[in-house]
Amino acid sequence: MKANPGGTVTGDAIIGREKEIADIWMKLEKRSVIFTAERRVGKTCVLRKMSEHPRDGWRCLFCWVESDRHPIDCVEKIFAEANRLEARSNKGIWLGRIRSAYKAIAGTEISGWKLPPIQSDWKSLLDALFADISENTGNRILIMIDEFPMMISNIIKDHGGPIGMEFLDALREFRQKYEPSNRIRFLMSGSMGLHLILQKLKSDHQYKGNPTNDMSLKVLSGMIREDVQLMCVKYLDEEGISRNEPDEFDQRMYEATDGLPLYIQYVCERFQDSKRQEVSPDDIDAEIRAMMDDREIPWFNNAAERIETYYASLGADRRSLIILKMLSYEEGFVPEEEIIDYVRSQMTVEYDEEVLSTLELLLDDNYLVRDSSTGKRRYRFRYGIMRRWWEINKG
Amino acid sequence: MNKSKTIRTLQSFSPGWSDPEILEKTLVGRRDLVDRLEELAIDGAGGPNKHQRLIIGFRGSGKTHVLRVIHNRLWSDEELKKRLLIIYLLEDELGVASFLDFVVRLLRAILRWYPDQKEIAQGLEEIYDLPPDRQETRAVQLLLHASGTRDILIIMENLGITFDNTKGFGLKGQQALRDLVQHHPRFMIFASSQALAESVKDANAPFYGFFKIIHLRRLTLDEAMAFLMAMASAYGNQDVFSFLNTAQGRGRMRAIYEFTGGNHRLLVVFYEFLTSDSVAKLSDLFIQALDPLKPFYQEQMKSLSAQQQKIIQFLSLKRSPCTVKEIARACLAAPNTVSSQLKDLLDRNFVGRIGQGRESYYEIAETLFRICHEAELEQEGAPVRLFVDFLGNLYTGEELQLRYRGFSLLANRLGAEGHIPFAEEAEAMHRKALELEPGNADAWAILSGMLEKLGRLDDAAAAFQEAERHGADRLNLLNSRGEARRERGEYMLAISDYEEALQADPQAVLPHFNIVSSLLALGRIEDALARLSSAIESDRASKTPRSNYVTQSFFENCVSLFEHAPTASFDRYLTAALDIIGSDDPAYLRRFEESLPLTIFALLEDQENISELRLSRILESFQDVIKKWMEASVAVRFLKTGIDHFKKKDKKALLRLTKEERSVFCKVLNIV
Repeated sequence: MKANPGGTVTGDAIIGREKEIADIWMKLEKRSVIFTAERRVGKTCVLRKMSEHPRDGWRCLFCWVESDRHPIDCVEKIFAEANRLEARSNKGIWLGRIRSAYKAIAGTEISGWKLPPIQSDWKSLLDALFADISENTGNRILIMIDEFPMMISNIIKDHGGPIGMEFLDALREFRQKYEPSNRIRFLMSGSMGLHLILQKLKSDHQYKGNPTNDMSLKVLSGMIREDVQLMCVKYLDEEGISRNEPDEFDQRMYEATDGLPLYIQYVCERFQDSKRQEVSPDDIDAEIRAMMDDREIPWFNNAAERIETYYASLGADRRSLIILKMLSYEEGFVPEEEIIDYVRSQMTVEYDEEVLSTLELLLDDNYLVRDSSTGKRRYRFRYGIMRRWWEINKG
Repeated sequence: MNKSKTIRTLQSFSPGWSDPEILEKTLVGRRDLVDRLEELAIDGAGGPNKHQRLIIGFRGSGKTHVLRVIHNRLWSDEELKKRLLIIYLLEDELGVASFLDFVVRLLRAILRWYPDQKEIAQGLEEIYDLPPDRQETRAVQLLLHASGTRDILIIMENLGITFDNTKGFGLKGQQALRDLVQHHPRFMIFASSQALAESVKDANAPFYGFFKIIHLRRLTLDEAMAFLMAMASAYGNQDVFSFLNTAQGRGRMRAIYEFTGGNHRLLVVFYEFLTSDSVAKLSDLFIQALDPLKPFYQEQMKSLSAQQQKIIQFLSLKRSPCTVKEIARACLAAPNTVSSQLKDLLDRNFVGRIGQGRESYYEIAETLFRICHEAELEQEGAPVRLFVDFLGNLYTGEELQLRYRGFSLLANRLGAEGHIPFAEEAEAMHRKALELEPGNADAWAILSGMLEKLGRLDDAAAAFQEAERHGADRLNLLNSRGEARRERGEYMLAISDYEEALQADPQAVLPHFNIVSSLLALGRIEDALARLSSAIESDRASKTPRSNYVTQSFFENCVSLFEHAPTASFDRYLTAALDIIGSDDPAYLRRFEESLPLTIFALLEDQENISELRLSRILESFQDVIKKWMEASVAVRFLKTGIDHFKKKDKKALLRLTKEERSVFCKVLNIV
C-alpha cells in the first residue's frame, strides 16, 4: 500500500486502532464521549472506521462541522445524515417530529435552513431531531461530531458568547434527556481543546456551565506497537521493501515516532520514494533526523502557534513556553517543584497556582503527560518526537 | 513547420494551448514528478487512499506545464476515467468569492470536459433560480451526482488565490471545502500555487497538513539547455537544434541562463531570440527579448502598494544591494516602515536579502524584473547590455576551450589541485586503449602531451615517436608538445616546437600565436609584436580567417603577458598590439574584445600566484589602454572587485556588483 501521510484514508487504508475503538465503544455503553487528540494523530480515521464498521446494534451519523457557524448548521448536518441513513421510526414516519416542527415554523416542507425563523428556533428543532433519532427502532444511534470545538469557536466568533453558551447548555440538556433511553449517544471530537474555549467563555462571559462533565474523555495518542507493526507490513513488506531485524525495526519505529501514524507514514513514504529494497532500524533514525529539517512536514507548528494565540489570550503563553522549553531538554519526567522553581527563575510568579494551572492546561491539551506513581507529580512531553522537535525549533 | 509559424507558436507558448505531444517532449526536469502524480492518481482512483498534492513554484517555473501534462496523461486513460472523474480548472479562475462559486466552477469545468452531461447542465441552470440558502447544498449534490460512483480528482492552479480572504473564498470557503472532502472521502486535489499561502502554512488553518507539498526547483543549467534543445526538436527546427550544439549556441544559452535562472517561461521567451540571428550582438537580441516581458512585470508592479513600488524602483536603479537605512533615506520613509514593507516584499519573492555581519542588504530577487525596469527608466538598458555581451563572450570562450582543450584543461586543474591519481588513471586508460588499438596515432599524441605536462620527458618522447610512427598529423603533434612545454615554463623548447610545426605547414596560424605567447612570457616584447603581425597576416590569408581560434589565441597572449612579462611592458605591448590588430580590420578587434572575459577570470582564478601590485598594474592597463579601443567596463569592474575581494579582503566588495554579476563572479571563481 502506498503511504499517504496527511491524505484522506478510508476502508482498508485505515490501519489498526482496534483497541482504541473497542475502548470507545465500551465507554459509549455508559455515556457519551469527548474524543480529543493533538492534530494529525488520526482522530478522523478512528471515527471513519467506527462509522464504516459500527458495533452490532449501532448505527453512526458522522457529521463534519468545521464550517458550521450557527447552531442551525449543526441541526442541518445531523438531519442530513439521519435522512441519508433512511432509518424507520416505530411510528412509521422517520424524522416525523422535526418535519412537523419545521413546517410549523416555516410553513413549508423541509428545504433551506437559513431562513430567519428557522435559524432562531434552532433549539426546538434540535430537540425534535434528537427525539426522532432516539425513537428509531432496532438501532442505537451514535452521533459523531468532528471538529466540535471549532464549530463552537465559529459560533462564538460570528454570533457572540451567549449563543455559544446556550448551544453548549442545550446539548447537555438534550443529552441528559435522551441518553437514559440508551438509544442515543454522542461522540464529540476535536483537536482544538474544548477546555480552552470553555476557559475563554468563563473569563469573558462569566460562563458557569460545565457542559461536558457528564461525558467520558478519550484521548487518542500514538498507536500501540502491534498497530505500528501492521503499518510497517502494509507500507513496506507489501511494497517489496524488506525490514532487517523486523522485531527491532518495529520497536524502533514505535519508539522513534511515538506510534504517531502520520510520522510512521512519512518515514515509510520516504523509504518507498527512495526505491530501497531493504531498510534497517538505523534507517528510521536517519529519516527522522532528516525530516526534522524538512520544512514541508507539518510537525508541531500548530501546537506552538496555539501557545501564541489561545494561551496568550488566557495570559498563559509565556509560562507555557518556559515550561515547554525546559521540558524539551529532559527526556524523562521532571518533578513539579523543579518546574515551578525554573519558571520562577525566568519570570515573576506570585503564586505557585499560576504555574500549576498552566501545567493543567498543557496536560489537557496533550502537550504533556503526568506521572504520580512516586507520590509526587512529575511531567514530561507526551510525545518524544514532539519533545525533540521542540528542542530543535523552540529550545 | 516554417520558421515564422514556429516563432508565432512560441510567442504564444502557453501550456494551456499546446500540443500534448510537444508538452510531453518538452517536459524537462519535471518528468519524475509527473510520473509520480500519475501513479498517485491511479492508486487513489477507486482505492482507499486519496492523495493530495500542492506544487509550489515561482512565476514561470512550469507549474502549468506539469499539471497540463498530468491531465493529458490521465485524460487519455479510458479505463481510469471509468473510476475517476477528472475536473481541470482553468489557470485563471478568478472571481471565486465563495464556496458556492467554487462548486459552480467545478460544475462548469465538468461540462467543458464532459459536454454530454446534459443533466448537470440543466441542474446548474436551475441553481441560479433557487433561494440563496439552498444553492450551495444543491450545487454540492449536483457535483456528487456528476461523479456517480467515481472518485473525483480536482486539478487546479493558484490555490493560494482561491483560498485567499479577499481574492478568494477565505476561511469560510476553506472550512466548507474541508468539510466536503472529509464528508465524502472521494476527492483528490492536485493543486499549484506561487507561494505557500497562510491558508496552508497557518497551523490553525483547515488545510494545514492536508497537502503533501512539493517545491518546484529551478532548472539546472543542463536541464535548461535540454529544455531549449527539446523545444527545437519538438518543433522540428533542425537548424536551431544544430546551432544550439555549437560553442556559440551553448555560450549563448549559458549567458541567458544567468538571467532566466532556469525559469521555464523566460527560457521560452528567450529561445526565439537566442536562435534567430547568430551574427547579431547578443545584447541587442537580449534587449529585444525583454519586450514581451515588460507588461508581465508591469502587472506585478501594479499589485504592490505605492510605498512598495517606490522601494522597488529605487532598488532597480541602484543595481547593488542596499541596507534598510539607505532605502529609507532614498524613499523618504521611516526605517521601520521600510522594514515592514521589505518583509512583505521578501515573502512575496520580490526582494532577496543578504546578511553581511550584523547588517542585512536587500536587492530585487528576480534579475529580469530589475533589468526590465531599469531599461524603462534610463539608458535603454546600457549597463546590462554590456554585461550580457561580456557574459556571452565568457561562456562562448569557455565552451571553445572545453571543446578544443577540454581534457587538457581538466588535467591542468586537477593536477594543480593535487589530483594526481586522476592523471594516473587517465594514463592507465589511454594505455589500455592503446593495447586494444596500438596503431591509434591520436591516442599516442594525447598520451605524449599528457606525459609531457607531467614532466615525464622520456616517456613523453617515446609516445611522441610512436605517434609519429603511426602517422599522427605532425603539425598538431608539434603544436601540442609545444603547448605542454610552454605550460611547464620551457618557453624556448616550446618555441622550437612551434617553429618546427610551421615548417611542417607554413600555412598554419596557431603556432604563430603560440610563439607570441611564449615570447611574451620571456619578456621579449618587440619580438612578440613582430610575431603578432605575422600571426594576423597568416590568419588573414587562411581558409577560415578570424575564427574562434583567434579569440582563444588573444586570450592566451594576454594571460602570458599579464602573468609573466615585466609590468612596465604592459602598456607598450597592448598599445602596439591593438594597433596591429585593429589596423584595417575591425573584426580582429572584436575577437580581442571577446577574449577579455576569459582573460579576466583566468587571472582572478590564479590570483593567489599574482601579487596585488601586479593585478593593480593590469587594472591600470585595462583602464588606460584597452578601454580606449573597446568596451571593457565590465571587465574592469570585475577585475577591481577581484582585487578588493581577494587582495584587500574587502567584505563588501561583492555587494558592489549586481545580483547577476555577483552570481557569475562567484560561480566562475568558486566563491561560496
